[in-house]
Amino acid sequence: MALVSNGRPGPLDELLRQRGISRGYSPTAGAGLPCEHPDLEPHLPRGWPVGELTEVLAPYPGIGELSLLAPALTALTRRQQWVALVAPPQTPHASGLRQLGFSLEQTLVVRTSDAGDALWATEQVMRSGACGAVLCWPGQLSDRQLRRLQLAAEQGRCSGVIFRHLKARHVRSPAALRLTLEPNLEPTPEPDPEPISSGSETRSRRSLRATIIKRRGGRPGSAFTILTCPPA
Amino acid sequence: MTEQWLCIHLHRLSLDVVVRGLESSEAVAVCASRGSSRWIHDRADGLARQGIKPQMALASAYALAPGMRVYPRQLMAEASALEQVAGWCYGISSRVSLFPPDMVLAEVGASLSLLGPLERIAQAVRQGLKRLGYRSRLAAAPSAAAARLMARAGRYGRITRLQPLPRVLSTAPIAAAEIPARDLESLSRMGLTTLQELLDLPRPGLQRRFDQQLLDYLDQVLGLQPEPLRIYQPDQAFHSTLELPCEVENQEALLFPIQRLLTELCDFLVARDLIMDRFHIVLGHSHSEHSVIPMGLLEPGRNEQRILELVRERLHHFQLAAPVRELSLKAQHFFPCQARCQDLFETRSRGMDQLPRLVERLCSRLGDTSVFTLSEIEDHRPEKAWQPDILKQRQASGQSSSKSGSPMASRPLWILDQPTTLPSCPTLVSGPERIESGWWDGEDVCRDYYVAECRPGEHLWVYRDRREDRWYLQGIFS
Repeated sequence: MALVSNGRPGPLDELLRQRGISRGYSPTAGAGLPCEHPDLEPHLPRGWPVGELTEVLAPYPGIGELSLLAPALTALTRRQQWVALVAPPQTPHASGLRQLGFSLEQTLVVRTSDAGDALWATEQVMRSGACGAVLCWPGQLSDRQLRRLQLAAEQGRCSGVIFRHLKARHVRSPAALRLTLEPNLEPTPEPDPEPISSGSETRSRRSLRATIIKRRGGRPGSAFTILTCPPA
Repeated sequence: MTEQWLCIHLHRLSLDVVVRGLESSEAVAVCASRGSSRWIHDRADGLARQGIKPQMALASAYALAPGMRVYPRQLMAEASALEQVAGWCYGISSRVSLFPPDMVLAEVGASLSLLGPLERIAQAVRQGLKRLGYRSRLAAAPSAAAARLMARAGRYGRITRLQPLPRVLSTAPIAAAEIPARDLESLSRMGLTTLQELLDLPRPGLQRRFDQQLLDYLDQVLGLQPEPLRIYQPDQAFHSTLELPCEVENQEALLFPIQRLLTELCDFLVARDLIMDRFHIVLGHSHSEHSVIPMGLLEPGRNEQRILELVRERLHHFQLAAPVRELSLKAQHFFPCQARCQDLFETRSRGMDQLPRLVERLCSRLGDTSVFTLSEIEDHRPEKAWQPDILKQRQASGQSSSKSGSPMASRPLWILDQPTTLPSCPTLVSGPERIESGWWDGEDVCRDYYVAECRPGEHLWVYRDRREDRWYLQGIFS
């Protein structure tokens, strides 16, 4: 769209051609890691950012944060790229990972004994470029440390995902994408009471409220609902 | 292929060792002492011009040059300097031998085709040692003993043949040969002064009057008998110390000696084709425990300038606990140096080459067992149904154990190392799954597994132990 008068490019066109001016939210610019999650895709058309940090903020672990990322990460492992879990809070269970779809051969786990080592290991793994995605649970992070991780992710061209507590949402962060997850306390529209039946594989759908509070190249969005299937 | 032995004589070693820690070498003298008498062992050239000679008594020397700075001789430092020079020579020769107090022998005949004619090697040696701070004089001969003899006699140069004996060796004084003092005295009383005179004597006569050791030595000089030499083995770790001539309180003043030590460290790495990612600077104090400054590099390397910048930065923020008397550098963790190969097509698969290096780096700091992938084991008990596949071992053996899992009910993503007890029965969502197994190794379990919801949205994997009738938490779904 160019403002052309008398066949010559107008002043607006000149301005728009300059770099550094964003034209609202351009969903097609740049490539990312495709979400492959039906509820996330409308909100993250570019997918998870590559070469940048993503922050996932949740009030407590186990709310379903990894199930959100699982489709994208499992696609990575199937493409023979590595996914690294650095200093996870508990031990990842092999069968659980396999059931989520991870290829165990391409999932790297790094275990450290203290926070300093964990941060160092995260930075090394991100910078090396050996892994397509790096997940970490760093605990308390200063702005300077976050920036270092951001630089490391840029240098290694990997998707860095940091899991933090929800209370960090009011703290400024240089991450490119910040997503909060909260349990959805409203009743779900599907009335499906699940009795405790033995050996049945039926699942009830639970929902999460997700909000994108920061997005590079776009505006923060309002809360949307993600329906996930909990385990049987 | 004939041997060519290069004898490196560090003729000013005691002075060079002392001057290493100083900013300037003007008017510096080294004194040796025995009991209460002290004399000059070596002095700077400026002082030599003022008339100070070695073996002169200290008092007389002070009379001639009142402003000179005198330091005691550092024998330990001289010994480690000799080792350091031997380590440097390891870059030009594979057979290096130490002859304390001030000689290093290197066999360069095998390196001639790679490193060029002897003159070029000699030039490289002189310049390399000068960079480290040591002055040297070189003598080359086809046998090690002959090279040492030439150096001791002060006849530096090169001889290419030993038969017939060249003039430079035949006129060498016997005092320069490695003959025991007692035999030397007998020989001088017999009126023999040069090596040629000794060689002209008939063999049986010499055999009757002297030890076989003397005859063996003569044969070694002439190259007729090989000489058993203790070959120097380079260290696997780097440790170099510098004693500062006076206590230093300002950390900026430490940079100069640290730079000297860093040059040695980088030469050490280059000679062995290694890179490092961390080292320690140890500061020794007179009256307190030494302090250690650990230095780490983001990426392993051996670029002296870059490391010096990091050290400068670090020292700037470091508070000296006490005045520093001694400085040393220690490094043990090395990696083989792999040159970066540029791929013509910048594809994502370059990440595959990076993985072994990344694992190497992580393991060297965190331990070999810290980096692993997971694999499943055929066992119904969840805590035993998985094992870590240590990546380093996998790379060594080249195989990986992977089993396609049998179909089973949902498993949590996170498993706790030890199941924790729950105070009461939680809100159950689905289940039960009964697992009874493990009677064969004494750890049999008898559990009913359920999925429970504790806080909204949080799904936990709990079980009820049927024998104890207690609830435990074992895993978290995510």
